[in-house]
Parts: sequence; C-alpha cells; structure tokens
Amino acid sequence: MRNQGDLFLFLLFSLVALVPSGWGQQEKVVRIGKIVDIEGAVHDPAKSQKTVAVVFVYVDVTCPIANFYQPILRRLAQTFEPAGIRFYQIHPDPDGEKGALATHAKEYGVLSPVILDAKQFLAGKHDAKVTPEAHVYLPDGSRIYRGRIDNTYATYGKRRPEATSHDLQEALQAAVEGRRPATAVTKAVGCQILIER
Amino acid sequence: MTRPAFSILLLLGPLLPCSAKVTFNEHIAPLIHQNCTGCHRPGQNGPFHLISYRDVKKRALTINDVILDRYMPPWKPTNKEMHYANDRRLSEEQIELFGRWVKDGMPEGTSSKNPEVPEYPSGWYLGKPDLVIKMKGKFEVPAEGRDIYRSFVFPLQLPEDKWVKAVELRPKAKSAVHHALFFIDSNGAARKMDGRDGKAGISGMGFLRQAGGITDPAAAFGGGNGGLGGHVPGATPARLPGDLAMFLPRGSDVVMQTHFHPSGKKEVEEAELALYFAKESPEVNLVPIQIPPLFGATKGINIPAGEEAYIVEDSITLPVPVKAVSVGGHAHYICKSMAMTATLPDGKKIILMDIEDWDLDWQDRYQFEKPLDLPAGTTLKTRLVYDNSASNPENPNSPPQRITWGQESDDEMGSITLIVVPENNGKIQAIKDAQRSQLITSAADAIQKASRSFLNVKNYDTNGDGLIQYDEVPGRMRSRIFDRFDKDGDKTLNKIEQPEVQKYLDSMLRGFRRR
Repeated sequence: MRNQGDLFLFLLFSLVALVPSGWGQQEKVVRIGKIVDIEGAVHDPAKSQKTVAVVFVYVDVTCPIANFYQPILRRLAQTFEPAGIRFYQIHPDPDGEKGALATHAKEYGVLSPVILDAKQFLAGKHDAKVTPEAHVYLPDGSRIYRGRIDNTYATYGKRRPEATSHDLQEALQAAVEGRRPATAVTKAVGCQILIER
Repeated sequence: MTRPAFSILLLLGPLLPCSAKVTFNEHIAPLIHQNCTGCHRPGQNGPFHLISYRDVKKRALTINDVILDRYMPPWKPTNKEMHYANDRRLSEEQIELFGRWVKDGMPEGTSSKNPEVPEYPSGWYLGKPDLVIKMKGKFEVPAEGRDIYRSFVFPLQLPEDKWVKAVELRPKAKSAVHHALFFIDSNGAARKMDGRDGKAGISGMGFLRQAGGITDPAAAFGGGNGGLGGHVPGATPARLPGDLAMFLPRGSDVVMQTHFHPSGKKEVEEAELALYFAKESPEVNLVPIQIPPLFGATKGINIPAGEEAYIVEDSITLPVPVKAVSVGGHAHYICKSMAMTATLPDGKKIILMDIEDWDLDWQDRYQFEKPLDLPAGTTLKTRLVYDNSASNPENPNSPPQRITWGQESDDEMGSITLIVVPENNGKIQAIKDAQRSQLITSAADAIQKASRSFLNVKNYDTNGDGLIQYDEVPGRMRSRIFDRFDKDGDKTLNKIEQPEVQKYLDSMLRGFRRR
C-alpha cells in the first residue's frame, strides 16, 4: 500500500511538473462583481445575458506606452462592444483624482467606462503588473487572456513600426467565436504598477 | 542640491556600507534631481514628474528597470574611457544604490534630511535669446500611426551674416516631438517646397536631396558650416566652448527636420527656436568630417533580407593636426551598432564613440570634455553594423525585405560626423581636399562593389532556381528592369531575358565609370 501511495505521489508531482506555467494564470477565476466608474455609474457586466467577455485594461494618465495604445483601445472597443465584449479602463493609482481621469479620457477619446482603483483592489484581484495590460474574463469569472495589447513594443524604447502580433484582438475574436485564444498569456511592456496596499 | 554636494554624494555612494539604510531624502532624491528631474518636471518632455517622494516611489519599479537597461537617462555611447562634457550616464554604483532602495521597500527617511529641489530656469535655459523665431504654419500630429519625419521652415533671412553660439528649441507638441535637426537653407528652396501637400512643412526625410540651397547636409548633425545642430529631449542646451560658433549666412532660413512619435492624442506643432549669437566671428571655423561621406551614399549599401550583420566601414587620414570637438552618428532603423576610432601616428588607438545599441530615436551629439588633439596622420575609422533580420524588432519590414541606401526612413544610411577645428582657417582646405579624395576612392569602391552585386544579373537569383523573380530584384530596380525586359510579363526573368538585362546593367556600369 505504501508503495502504491508513493507511486501515486510520484505521478502527481510529475504531472504538476509537466503543467505549463501559464496554465495557472490562464485558469484564474475571479468574481467579476459590480464596478463603479468615475461618473458614479454602476456596472455589473457579468449579470448581463449579452456579455460575452469582460476586458479590464490597466492604464495610467502619464504612462506614455499606455497613452500610445489609447487609439487602438478605442478601435477595439468600437469593433467588439457590439459583439458583447465589455471594456473597462482601470487606473490603479493611489494618487489618482476623478477629475484628472475624466480630463485624460476626453483628451485621448476614451469611449469605455473609466474606473479609479485608488485602493488597488482590482489591480490586486487581477494581479495586474503594468500599464497597459489587458485582462479578459468570461462572465463566469474565468480568465482567458492576460497581457499585452499587441507587440508594437518589444521592450522599453524598442518599438516596431507596426505590430505583427495583435494579441488582444485575437483573444477577443476567440471569445466572440466561443473558443479559447491560442495564446492565453503574454508579457506586457509598459509602466510597472506598484501595489501599495 | 549644489553640484559640489552632489559630487560628494557620488564619492560616498560606492562607500555606503551594505548595512546602511538607503532613503529617499538622503540618497535617492539627489540622484533623481540631478539626473531625471531636468526632463521629468512641469513644462518639459518627460511624460511624468519625478520630483517628490510620491512621484518617485510610484515609478520606482519602472525607474529601476529602465536604469538597469540603460534606456534612461538617454545616453547611447558605451565607451567608458572617453569623457564627454554632456555625459548623462549613471555609474554602476548609482544604479546599485537605487536597486537597494527599491529592495528595502523605498523608505522616505527623516524629514530633517528633506532634500531641496534644484531650481530650474522657467524660461529659456540659456537666458534671454538674441532672437526667437517661429516655424511657418502649424502642423497637426495625428494621434496614431507610424513615426512621421517632416521638415519645417523658420523664415529668417537676416540682412547680415551671424555666428551662432547655441540654439534652443521649444516644441509645442511635447509628447510627440522626438528629436529635431536644424539645417540652413541659403537660397529659399525650402520655402518653395513648404506646404506642397496642403500641410505646413515638407514631407519625409528627402528634402535635402531636393533643396539645392543646403550647402552641406552632413553639417547639421554637428553644427558645422551648413547646420545648427539638433534638439534631443533631455539634452541641456549649451553654448559652444571658447570662441567657437556656427555660421549663419545672411539671407538664409533655418529648416528643422523633425521626428514625431504619435503619442495617442492629436497634438499641434508650432515650435519656437531661440538663437544665441556670438559677438565676433570665431578665429577658426568648425569643420565636419563625415565618414563615410554623404551618409554612406557611395558605400553601395545593399542589405539582403535576413542579413544579421551587414558591415559598412570607411576611413580617412587627417592631413593636418586638428582638435576634435564633438562626435555624433546618423543611421536609420536597422542599424545595430556604430563606432569611430582614431589611430594616432604612434599607433595609439582612441575610441571616439562606440554605440553598441544604435537607436534612431536618440540621435545626440557627444561633446568631448576637452577638445582632443589629433595629429596629422591620424586615421579616423568608422564601422557600422546593420541587422535586417526578423529578430530585429525595429526592422520596418515584416517579413524583412532587401534594404538599400536612401533618404526615407525605410531606406538605410549611415555615417559618423566628427566636428573638428584646425589650427587656423588656412588648414581647412587641406581637410576638404582629403575628404574629396576620400569621396572619390569611396565612390570607386562602390562601383566595384556594385559590379559584383546588383550590376551582375546572376546575383539577383537568391533562391538559386536559375530564374529571377520580381521579389528578388531590389525595390528601386524592379520597375526599371521588369518594364523593359520581362517581355512575357510573367514577373520572372527567364534565361532568354536575362542576357538583355545584363547588357543594360553593363551600360549602367560604363555610365558610372565615365562620371
């Protein structure tokens, strides 16, 4: 019996060792819950029957890489909102002010609801690392994508003239088609979020 | 914090015991204020402020990454032995100190050691300018899209010659302007070209080719005759040392070649340029020595798709002794590294500039701390390496395409310009003669190289199938060759069509040789 138990443990550890490191993150499940934007509007996207997926994009007022992506985020929202993808832009900034976020949203033509996550509750819950970083959840709270918007930035200061891999768009297309994206996790390049709580 | 106090800190930094607590007020604030706040403060180009404890703490992880990566402060040369007057490099000890602070949880420290934020000039950095000129028209930079290269005219046409000690640019589109180079247009050609596409300015990088009045485009990069230097975010404007000055002939305009990075929001450019004049003409003029000459036009730059290390080299021997004042390079996206070395007559080698990770975005000029004495007989050698593979993220083509010499950003160029002063103006002609002779030798080499490469039809057949497909011919040659010689119009040159192409290429080669 003891030998059988050892064999079981051995097999179990072997299997764990074989699981790709991205899996744990891919399968992360969170309760999406209610979200209040800077205008005071309450959103409960998971409750709506029309919601196919929810995208939380972590952004920042002064991060140049996050700002660079605003026109792309606007276009993605315009394309995918009618298909049931709900976009939210989250500022995980303990010093953030709603007025400044509203001004920024106007300046950059942000169409999606803007959330001030001053206590970094959402950033902690989603394990957000940098701005800009996209987290895509199904209404049941399972995460299907986390990472960069596309690969324009290879690293700090190394920018492709044009992206060759449109990761967020592909993840959203997969969600609309009812499948899991081919790539569930990518590394976003941007300004690191310091979690202070 | 004053400069002497900061210097003391730099000396103490490496001696800080490992157990000592690194705090913002005592250690980090002086480092940030000295090296980062110049740009990262209100009214400057830095995207966020780095002044207070909160500012720096919030960005600490990012700062740690970019200083470790040496992306910030922006400074490209990696040769440690050379001392430059405008050096912005952090020392290894400073980088380590910042890392320790982050690791220790970013403590603020005691308020008694609260640092004083240095005072920065609120107006023009160099004080009241002698003249401020405004660019002609306004240009709207779009929110997104590829980088934009555009030139703008600053109408000037002064009634008398002037000598310029310094220029300072105040861009309006602060988030979008990446850098700018200032040229002198002495015959009004740029004014005529301005606005031809319905917008302010002149599109692309090619205006130098078209504007006949620009005497020496190479010089803009060095601020020698024909140019007034450049503007790089974060670089502190400075007057040229001693009595040195840049020549601004009467009746000329200033043309600013600008590189914009769309920033995510629309911005409007309407820049102002401040000029600081010298009271008298300098005793000796600045002379640019560009190697290879004409930004590499004679080097036959022809980089096959996928080539990871395409090398361009050139050299010149100084006919007279000079003092080298500054050095700077120019190339486009796929240049990977560039270096200029001086070999003195006694065999001693001096690395004047070595950029291991060239970045078109940070085209700065590097001024030597003290002018360097280079005796007659010194050989100046330039080496540039290009990476046209798919693994180079800055490759403008995906998949990679053959890239040849040209003035648009998707073409390639490459040279390093050393600005020198000879003993007296009488020696300038000898330098110019050496450069001319170098240009002729370089052009002859280019013809030989061309005859071995693109002037030999067999060399186009890169896949070795005996036929020449449309994609195998360099972009500039395609229509010229296929329109004439692809008789059956199948976008492939067969064995009957190829000899006719070779006859044509031979006639081109004869044409080159006659020039």
